[in-house]
Amino acid sequence: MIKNLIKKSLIVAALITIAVYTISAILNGDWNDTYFIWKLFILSGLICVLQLFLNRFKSEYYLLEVLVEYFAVIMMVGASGLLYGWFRLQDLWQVFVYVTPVYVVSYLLDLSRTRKELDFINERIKKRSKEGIVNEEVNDNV
Amino acid sequence: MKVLMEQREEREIEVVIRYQKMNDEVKKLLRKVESCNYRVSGDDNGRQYQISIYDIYYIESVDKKTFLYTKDQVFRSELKLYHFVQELKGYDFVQVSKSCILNLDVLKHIMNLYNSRMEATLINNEKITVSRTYLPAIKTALCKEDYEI
Repeated sequence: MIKNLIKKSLIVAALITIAVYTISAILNGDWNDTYFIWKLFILSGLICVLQLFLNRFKSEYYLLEVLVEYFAVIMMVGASGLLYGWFRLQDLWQVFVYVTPVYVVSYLLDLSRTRKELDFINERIKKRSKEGIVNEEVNDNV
Repeated sequence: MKVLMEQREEREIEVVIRYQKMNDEVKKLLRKVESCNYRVSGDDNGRQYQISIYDIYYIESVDKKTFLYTKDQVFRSELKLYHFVQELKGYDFVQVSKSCILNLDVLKHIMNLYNSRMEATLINNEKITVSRTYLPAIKTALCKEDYEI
């Protein structure tokens, strides 16, 4: 519920940002900031496509999945930064400064969410066990 | 629900479900009973067996070969894992990792391990690896029962 609310408000905020900057550029004739905003949106779109592609490759090691995605995003942000002139080659280390906090926070949030999900699942299994739904004794009737 | 049991001469087990109205609870009971009848072929040392899915604890794919694990036996199946994923969806089986589907009836608990891996303990105390990405599917499968009843 809260997650959906945050998602929706972020989408609305993104649409407002695009609309405000684009209209302001049309009225004032200064497109620099608007181009920057559009470039950010293109980059976030590309990151989403990358994540969608990486989701197809699942590993038994969650940390490995996160690290692969992290380095892929680092490379994508670095390449976009060089292409759009956000970073100079010698300042490329700044990409890590921008991307790492996002991944650390999302990884920690995910750990806490997983713990909650596991508690919920174990609770449900206990409930099933009490209700006698589970297979307490299995006969080898093969 | 009243359970009546009667010992008879006939070899085949007979199950009669008497109900007033066909509802989700009756359908679920029917599916459980039918699952005992649902058998899959498995090979053990060249001999073919018909295994009730009720007896299967989990199905795993190792090196492109599919294995059916019961309480204390392992059978080889010619069918691919994705076949079982589709086929056993309605029978309390859920995919827990890229290479394994598990019978929820034999799941004891799931534990989070130190290296961000997870491990499921089965009622025979066997442990299998659970992938984090399949947790929502397990959760949904366990919650589904609430809606069904």
